Amino acid sequence: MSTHTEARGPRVSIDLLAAVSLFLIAAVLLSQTGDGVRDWAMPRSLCYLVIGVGVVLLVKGLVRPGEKVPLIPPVVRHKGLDTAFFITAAVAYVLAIPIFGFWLSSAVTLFGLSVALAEKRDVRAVLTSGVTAVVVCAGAYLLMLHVFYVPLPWGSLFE
Amino acid sequence: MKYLAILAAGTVALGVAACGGGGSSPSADAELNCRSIDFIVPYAPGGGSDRQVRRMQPHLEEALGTKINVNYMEGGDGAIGWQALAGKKPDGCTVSNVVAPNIMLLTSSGQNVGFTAEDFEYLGWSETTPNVLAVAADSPYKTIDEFVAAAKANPGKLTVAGVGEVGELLTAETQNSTGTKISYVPVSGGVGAIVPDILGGHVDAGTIGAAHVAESEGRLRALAMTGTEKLESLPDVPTYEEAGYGPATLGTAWGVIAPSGTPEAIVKTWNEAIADAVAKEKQQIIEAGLIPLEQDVDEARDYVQKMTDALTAARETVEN
Amino acid sequence: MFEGLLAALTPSLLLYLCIGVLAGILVGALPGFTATMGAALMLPFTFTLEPAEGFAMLAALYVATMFADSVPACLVNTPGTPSAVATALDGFAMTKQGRGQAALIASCFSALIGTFVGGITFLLLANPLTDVALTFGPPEFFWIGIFAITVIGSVAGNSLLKGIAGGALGMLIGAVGISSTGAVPRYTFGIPELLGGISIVAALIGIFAIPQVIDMVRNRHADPHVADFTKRKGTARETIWGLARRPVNVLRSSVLGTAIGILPGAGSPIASLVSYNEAKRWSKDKASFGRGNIDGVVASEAAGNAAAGGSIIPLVSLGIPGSAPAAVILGALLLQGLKPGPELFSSDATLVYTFAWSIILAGVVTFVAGMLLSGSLARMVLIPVRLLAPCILFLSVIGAYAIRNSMMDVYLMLGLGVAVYFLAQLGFHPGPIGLGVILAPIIEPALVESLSIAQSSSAVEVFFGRPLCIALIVLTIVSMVWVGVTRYKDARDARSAARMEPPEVPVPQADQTTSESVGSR
Repeated sequence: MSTHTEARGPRVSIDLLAAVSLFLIAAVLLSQTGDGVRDWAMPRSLCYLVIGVGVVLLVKGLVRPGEKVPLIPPVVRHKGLDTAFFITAAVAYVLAIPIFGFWLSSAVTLFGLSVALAEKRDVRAVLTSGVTAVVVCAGAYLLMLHVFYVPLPWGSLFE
Repeated sequence: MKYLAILAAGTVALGVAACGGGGSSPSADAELNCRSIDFIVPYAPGGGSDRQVRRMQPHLEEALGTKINVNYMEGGDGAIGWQALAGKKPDGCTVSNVVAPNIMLLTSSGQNVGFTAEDFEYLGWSETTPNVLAVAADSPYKTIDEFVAAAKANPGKLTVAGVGEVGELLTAETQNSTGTKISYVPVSGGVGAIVPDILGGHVDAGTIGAAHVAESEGRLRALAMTGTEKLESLPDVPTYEEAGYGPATLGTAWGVIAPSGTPEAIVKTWNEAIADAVAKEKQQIIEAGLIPLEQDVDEARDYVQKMTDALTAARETVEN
Repeated sequence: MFEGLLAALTPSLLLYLCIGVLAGILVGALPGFTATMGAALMLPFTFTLEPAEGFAMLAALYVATMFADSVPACLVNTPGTPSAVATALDGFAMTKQGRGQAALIASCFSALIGTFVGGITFLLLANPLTDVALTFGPPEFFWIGIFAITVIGSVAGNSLLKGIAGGALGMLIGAVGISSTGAVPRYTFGIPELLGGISIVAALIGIFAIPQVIDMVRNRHADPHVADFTKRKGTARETIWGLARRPVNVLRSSVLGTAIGILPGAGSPIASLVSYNEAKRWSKDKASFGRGNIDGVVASEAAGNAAAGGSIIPLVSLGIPGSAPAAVILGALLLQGLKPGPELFSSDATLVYTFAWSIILAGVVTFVAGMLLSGSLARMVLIPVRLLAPCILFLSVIGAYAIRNSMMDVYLMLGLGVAVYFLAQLGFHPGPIGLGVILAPIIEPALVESLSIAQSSSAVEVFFGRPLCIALIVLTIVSMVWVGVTRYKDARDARSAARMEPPEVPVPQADQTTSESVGSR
């Protein structure tokens, strides 16, 4: 799926973006890194390695840009809305679990997402989504509670 | 007269046995009202804690009349499992294995580990083992004296493996007691991971539980052990004090805890169930190289203090 | 030896073996559930069984899990357990080419051969091999880990640099929690729940499943299904015949897997990674690895299964488990009153041989089960994305939670997943990151231990002075050089090929990384 033909706005080398990300990550981690050889030798060296790779990528990005991607990521543009939507839905799902319980949150998410993602949101789609959600949750419930004994959370609302 | 006394004593004994060893349902002050019991094991499956719980499991299920599900929550040397327990309802339906001095190390560490010492009720201790300094059977050191002599002749050249903070303390305790300087090798992956290192000759010795030596069927030799009691399964091993060195107190004990606020009656039920399980598994526990513990609720609480004191003593000797 | 076989062929033992295989397939196919977990779950059931039957059930579960973890790996690019990471690389590519069933068949065939080799080694060579295994100490494990890291060269995709950074990031993820010395919490940001670190399994689910799901969602208009699948009559026969005619790969992988499995502390994950690397190295068609070369699947799966059998060897000969599931099996045996070790060999050799034969039989049953199920399982790719994607998300949450009954693992799984998705957009493949996560708990403790051992002599002597270490270092250097040369040659060939063809519009790399599968370049 080609997004770059439609995108407008400033474009930047992918390597440059990658380098910046690496610097950011390394910076956060290094700020938390202590001293003491045995406990920190490995993480510290790894951070330096990451910075090193970042430097090389930075140079590469400036000197020989290669592929360019839009600076404003497609995720927040209209084609990337799907991705943003899905990620938001997933995060909401996970955050809902401690409150509404696993099973309720899952049933709602399974149903809602599969309807939202459908090409044609007609009755048939809604029905299949509903049935799938129920069957999958029921099956997982039996499996988890009676075979594997994994006590998935019931949610603070219900306890 | 004598016969009468013996008869009376015998009857009393029988009566006590009939009541105390009452079999499946000890005269519980409170029945557990749980769909099932969630038994947290804050360590990996296959380790000492797992074995403790699995050994007791059938008897506990019988005594408490409820199914037990074991839930492994490994991480942070027990922190993750105990954190989780601290947040559970104090109804006796969720309990956890506890290992001393590991839990004391966490609560006294000054960091935020997600729980404090006051968050738990001790239901009972099931077994304990002294820690030993173990070498491979084919090691040149046959007695603790030989080891100490070699360590004194070559300070810092002998390597001793241990696990976690406890291992470090144990090794420090050993050095202190024997007046030697040894190099400590931290091993991860549980105490069992030390054994291949010793057998393969990668370290000179290890500080491990006596149980591992007893299990090793002669492949490991224990040179000395901590504490003051002798161990039935390792009768020839002297304690550090017996061997003429300074005191070394740090042993390991396994027990069961529940969130604080658990009603006394439920604590008592659990305590009796644990004692019952230990009594039934006594032989297996001893063969595994451990010392079974049978305590009532108050004794269990005192034991906590005992282990805490042992830890403090160990820390103090190390700091001096 | 043959009394052992007869003892293993009793109906009750075979029954428990089959139960174990069934349970193993279930455990393996669900990402988030590991063989260790499965074995621990079945442990109480073994109390009432005979030792041989209990062992058979647990060993069968272990073997079947090592096969079944390839199912989600091939079908939806999500390894069912850490041992299937390498399988996903080619397995998923095969699925996208409509050859998903062949991938699964290759996997169960490899399980058969791998388990067989592991079992036979157990039968014939248990004791001498264990002695060799003991000579591998912390420094050797360190170099094995470094050697395994060079696999990054095979899985990094276009940019080796980014692959290296990815591997480093993966290892840093593994560094979260208490350090190897047990003294210091690292990168916990003051959150006590992070003291336990990020569970490897949760991390792998996040790293592989989530970006894959987001991709699926993004491309659902163009690809409403994950892949196509048409049932063809002769697939099974063709695949097996094709593999049987080229036995070198599967046999080499099995031997390698058994050898690595014997080392206490190294298990199926490392075995499958190293074996994949070697298969690619010795293949005549290196470039196709990662794009659907069946040999990649075979190498990874055969080694993973062989390592299962291999890890039982030190367990029985010395009482030292070679892997985490083997540790659970050790616990089961101890609870039965058995003391695995040389005494058991001499006092009850038949029982020990029964163990070995159980492993081999488990491989056979797994093979049969796999063959029967391959068609239906492969059909799963026909489920429309709009249903499949939410289901995978659902299963990922369950899997991440089930490890330690902790929501923190779920949050971390999702967080890592989203982060890795964006990193993939920037050109960082998930493969090396997953590799770093898997190898961190091997490399770092080994490093710390070796440095501590070095206090008694010197670091140079410890790391470079031991014969096995030297051999491993040479292997690593050869491997790195080989990686460098191959990549250089590939790049050069690609440039000359591009010069000879008419120029096309270059497809941006970002899209290529996301719309094609993770491992298929």
